[in-house]
Amino acid sequence: MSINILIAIVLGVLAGVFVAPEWIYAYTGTWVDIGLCLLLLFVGMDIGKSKNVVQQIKEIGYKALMVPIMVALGSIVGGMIAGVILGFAPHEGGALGAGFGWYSLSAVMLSQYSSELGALAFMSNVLRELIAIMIVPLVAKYIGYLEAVSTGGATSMDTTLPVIAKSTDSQTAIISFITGITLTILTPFCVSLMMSFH
Amino acid sequence: MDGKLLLYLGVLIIGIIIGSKDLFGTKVYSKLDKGQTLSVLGLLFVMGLRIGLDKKIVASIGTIGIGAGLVAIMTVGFSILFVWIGKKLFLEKSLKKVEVRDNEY
Repeated sequence: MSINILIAIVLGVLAGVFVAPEWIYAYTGTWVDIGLCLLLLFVGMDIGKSKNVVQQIKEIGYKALMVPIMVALGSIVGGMIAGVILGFAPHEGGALGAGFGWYSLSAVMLSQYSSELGALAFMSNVLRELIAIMIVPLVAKYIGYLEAVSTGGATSMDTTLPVIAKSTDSQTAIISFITGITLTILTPFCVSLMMSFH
Repeated sequence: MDGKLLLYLGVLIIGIIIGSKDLFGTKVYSKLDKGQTLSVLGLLFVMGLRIGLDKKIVASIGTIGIGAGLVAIMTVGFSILFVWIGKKLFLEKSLKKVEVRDNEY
């Protein structure tokens, strides 16, 4: 699966750079929405088919929130360390990590402070999504299902959800959705919090 | 974002209802896996296409790519590490209970 994922993305990028006319871009947003809806329908049918999933989620209960909270902490700490290595202040690095993969929002928020930070937020969060999509099958197989959910951050409720659902099980797909929603809500709060140390 | 979130949630819930009520025959469900794979690959191709068409991203790959790559790798790596630690500390017991019940089915 990882190889197919890589091939699909590389072919897409090459087609975008060398073949596709620019006017196509305006339509791609709709294509992504249609594709995502189709996928979420399939994922939902898969979840509905497994009768004991809801019972399992009840069993785990509030502990399902452990994943987004640990992802938030891990992303901020990871961002701080990377930021310091790159010559930024710890809180600026933390703000980069606090984008949790939601590149459009974090880039816009951080570009208010510096365009360099904004560009870095955009690029690093785009890369996070790409890395997540490529390594989810490997992490799920060799480390664990919940760790696979953690890679995508806020995107684990949409763009990385199909790959997570494909590589794990229905119970993890639901936790992935909960994780994505929670991190999406936390993103603006955490980016602002980090930059309040400015 | 809010409107889309509701749309995604709505579609997911519709899927869960369809799946739980067994509205389609087993033939449809046996093709679910193939449908998911094809949709994922198609979606990723379009995502790649969007990146390739966005000249701003293509241009910035060279200039800030290495720094961005480091931030991305560190955030993904530490997310995996923290969830692994959290799982060991808080979830091990719950998951074991669920696994035991799974085996009983």
